[in-house]
Amino acid sequence: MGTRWKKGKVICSFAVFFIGMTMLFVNLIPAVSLYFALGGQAFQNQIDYQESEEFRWLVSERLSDLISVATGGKGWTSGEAVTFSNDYGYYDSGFGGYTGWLDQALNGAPMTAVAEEVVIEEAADPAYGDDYQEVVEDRLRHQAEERTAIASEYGLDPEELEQYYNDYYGGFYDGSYDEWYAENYDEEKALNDYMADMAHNKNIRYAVVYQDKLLYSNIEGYEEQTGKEWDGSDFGTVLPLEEYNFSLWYNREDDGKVRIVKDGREVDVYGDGIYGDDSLWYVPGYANFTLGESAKEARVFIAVAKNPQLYLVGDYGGYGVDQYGGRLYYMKLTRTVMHREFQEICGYLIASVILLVLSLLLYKSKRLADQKIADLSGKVYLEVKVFLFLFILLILAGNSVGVLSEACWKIENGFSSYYCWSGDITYEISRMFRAGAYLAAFFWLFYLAVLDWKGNRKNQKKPLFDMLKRKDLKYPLQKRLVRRQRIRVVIELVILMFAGTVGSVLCLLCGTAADCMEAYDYYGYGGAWSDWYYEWMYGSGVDSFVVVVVIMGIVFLGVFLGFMILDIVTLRKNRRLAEDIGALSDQIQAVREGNLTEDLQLAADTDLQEAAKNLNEIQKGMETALREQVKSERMKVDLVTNVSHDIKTPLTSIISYVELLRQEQDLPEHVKEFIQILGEKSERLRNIVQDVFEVSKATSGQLPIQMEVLDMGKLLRQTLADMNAQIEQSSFTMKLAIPEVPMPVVADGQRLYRVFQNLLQNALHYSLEGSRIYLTLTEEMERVVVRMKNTSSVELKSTKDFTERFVRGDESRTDGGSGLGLSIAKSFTQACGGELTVETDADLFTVTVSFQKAQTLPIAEAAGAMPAEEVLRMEK
Amino acid sequence: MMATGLRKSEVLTMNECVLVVDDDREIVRAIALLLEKEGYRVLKAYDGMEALRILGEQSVQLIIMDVMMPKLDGLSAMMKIRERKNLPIIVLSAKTEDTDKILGLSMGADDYVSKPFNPQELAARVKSQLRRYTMLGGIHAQHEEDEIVNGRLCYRLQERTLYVDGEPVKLTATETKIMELLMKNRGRIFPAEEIYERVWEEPSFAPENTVMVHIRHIREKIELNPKEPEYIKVVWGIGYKMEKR
Repeated sequence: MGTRWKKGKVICSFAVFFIGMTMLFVNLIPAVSLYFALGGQAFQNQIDYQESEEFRWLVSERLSDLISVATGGKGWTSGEAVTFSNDYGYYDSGFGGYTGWLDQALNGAPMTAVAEEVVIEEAADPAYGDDYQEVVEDRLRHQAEERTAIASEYGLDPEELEQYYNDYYGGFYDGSYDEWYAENYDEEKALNDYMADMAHNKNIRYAVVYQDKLLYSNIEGYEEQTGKEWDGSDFGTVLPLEEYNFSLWYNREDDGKVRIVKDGREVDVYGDGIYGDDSLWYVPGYANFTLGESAKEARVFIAVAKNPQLYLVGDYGGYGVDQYGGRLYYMKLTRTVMHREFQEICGYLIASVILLVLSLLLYKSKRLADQKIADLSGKVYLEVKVFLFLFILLILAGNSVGVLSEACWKIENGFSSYYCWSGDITYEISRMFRAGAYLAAFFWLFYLAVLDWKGNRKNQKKPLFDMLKRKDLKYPLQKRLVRRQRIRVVIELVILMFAGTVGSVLCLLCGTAADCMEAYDYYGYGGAWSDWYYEWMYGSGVDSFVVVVVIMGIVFLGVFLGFMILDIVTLRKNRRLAEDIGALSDQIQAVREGNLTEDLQLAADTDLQEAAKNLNEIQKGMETALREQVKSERMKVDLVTNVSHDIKTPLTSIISYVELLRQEQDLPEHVKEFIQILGEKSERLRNIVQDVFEVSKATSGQLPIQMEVLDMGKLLRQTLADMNAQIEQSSFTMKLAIPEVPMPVVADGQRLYRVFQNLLQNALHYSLEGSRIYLTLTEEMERVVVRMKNTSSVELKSTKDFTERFVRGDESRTDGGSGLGLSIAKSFTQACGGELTVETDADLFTVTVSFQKAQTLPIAEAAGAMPAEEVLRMEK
Repeated sequence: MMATGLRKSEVLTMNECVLVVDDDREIVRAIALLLEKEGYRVLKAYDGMEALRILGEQSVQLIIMDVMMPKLDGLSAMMKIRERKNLPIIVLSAKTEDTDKILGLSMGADDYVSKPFNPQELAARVKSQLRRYTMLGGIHAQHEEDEIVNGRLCYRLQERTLYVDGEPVKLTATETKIMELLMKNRGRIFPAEEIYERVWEEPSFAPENTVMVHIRHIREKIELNPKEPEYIKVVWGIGYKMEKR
């Protein structure tokens, strides 16, 4: 129950989030674009179509038409009226549909006259250059070719077709129209037709007075009075205010100004009295918008319906039903629909916000849902995901760019200016929903991507990538690094080639599209995808040159971005490599310094993993070897200790009983001699045992050492004094050079005494009979150096290391020593921190003992000594 | 065996009794023979337990005891003995390191002799220990103001005489001066120059040899084993000193 509820909650929370987000995005663009299109009226209850730019523009147009009609029928074909409003929508009476031009032409009214004039004038104007002339000629030639083609296809008479064609399109372009125009144009008829059309449109009631004579009016009661004297009455009084809530008077008071009354209230038309961009009404009467003489005698009244209708007149003798008043009707209808839609969309937006708040409240469950989705997407291979992402992104981008740019354009410029004609505002709004849907799709695509990245960053399944990587790791390090560089170069080339291709293709397409667009402009069609491009170009209003520059910029940016990403990837990889190298060299340093316990741990996929592993093994090997060495050394010492102990016990007996024997009185002389030999040999055995014990301890570093500052000169003199008896008994002469000045060293005096005792005994033992022994003490390079030289009695082999254990100059081993003298001397010296070297030169045997010279002098009053003053007192 | 037994009963009445403890019977026997020649009554034991038993039964004046023995080792036995008795104990050991020596002495041994030992030295030590134990016990209690006592040594300032184990030793005038200096400043290290200048009262030049000759002579008179002196020691590279006992 609990888990099911929880599961349901998780699903619900995500569903709520999904619906809320999607709704928000889908409705956002329509909402914004409609808000801007509706101006300040977006949040009002009722829409007033008259409060719009289009409406004001329409009224201004109509006013200017009527003024020019009033001023004598010439102003609206040339002169003031044309410049007054250079727009061919000018004479429009309000019917929709494409048949307009044809209809008009066939009815005999060349409605295109003004525009045509402009085109022709522009073509003749040198300011537009020869190019323009060429373009026009080119166009005409093309048309002629096309006509010929169609004529031959349908078996028509080319001339007849040409006439028809001219009437249909182009009055617009065709020079032949001019002739027709010149021949057939009846200005009065055209004016009458125009005014007749105007009269049908009951949405706009008007009255035109010139020189106090009522010229035209479609107001009931005044229609009959046209051509008669105006009685000065207000035309508006006969119109019901609830039907025609908007009325305009021009020049009623002979002041050349416009007065507008809306819903019984007068409207402030002129503001500060100066016409500018921000002025609402484009009508005469501003300080900087004055009138010509003729217009001063005209008076115009216009009233506009509150609820415009379509007015249809069945002209079945002609082309069926004519439609009047559509522009106002559709204007109101469009705005009403937009308003209704906007309110609906607002409802959706509020709903989506509520849903989002709800999903925020359920954020824990929603997070679980996100995790679940990430888990699911984690099962998909990364390569597939990347491909799908890019594929969908491309499709979305390709399809949405037109709609989205259109949406931008609509947000900026609003709907109605362009689309109020068609009345198909619902379609236009639906396109905004499409833009919103694309936006939502983009959002979800990125949402999923981010979700996947966040959830599965560490453990993406990427078999292809892994395979490449595994393959990479198979190579040796140096090859791998070189290979990586090579791959980088290849990727760079691919990026460049791809960018170049895409850029040139886009530029080509753009050029083609520009051509297509021109064709579209001139011929009404342009090619397979010009519709899209046209829409876009038209929407954004940019030049194709700008587009090319932008494309090149984007391509360049793409290349730059690609290189940057490549650089960053390389940099990261290199940084990791550098870190690993650092760790490795640190570890090598640590191993060198004897730290063998800590392993180097590198991530399994790093380049130096192999090296680290090898180093760790070397380290382990060294550690094992060291442990073994220490173990064997200790075993050796233990062995020597045990053996010497085991020898000592019987030796004690031997010595004791020899002594007992020696004390026996009545023994023959030769027995006494034997006993003497036994005594000497047992004594020697004792010495050997002691020496072996000491040397093994010293070489294994287990000798206790008490370091203190002492004077090497004194030590040597003391040693010589200690051994004086022995020296005097021998046949040798000591040649001493021991300076009086203190030569302080840091060492263990007892051990050092043993060193020199051994060295001297050695010299006394092995020197040539009657030769001299030299003992010198010097200071060399901050070191205290003792050198002893003697001449060997036996021939010395220079290859022999005399400090090795049991090595002696004389191979016979029958002399008195243990063969350990020099070995003990050397190991004791080293234990005290000094150096002992042996050199042989022919029979000259030189031993050098050197120590670092100490900085302080030895202190005679050692620990436990009496204070100096007590010494003085006792002296007395 | 009969002869030994006879001799034992002979000395019983007149001489001190020494207990020799070692698991090596030959060594015990050799020591016993040596000591009996010196005129001591000797008792033998071959492990710590036996030693304790004999101590409980008989009056013993000195014990010579090995460290490593079965049943109860020498150090443990010594600790047990020390709980009740104050008699001198000489420890025998095959271990020669200083740490072993210090351990033995700190656990109650009066002397420490390492194997293999010189039999005559051992006899001298036994004699010294017994003299101090039996004769100097009284002197310790009433030693006078002008006496400097240091272990076996006693220097009487008034008489300018040195006594070793209570017996006066004949020293030359120089030797007496050196001994007086060293006995007065036990534990202090004297460089050879200082000893020379103070004793001979004239400036010195490399006096180690001269000083050493006299010290060697003194050692022969006061030390039990002059080769391993216990009192006048060389502090190598610095000087000489009288060890505090």
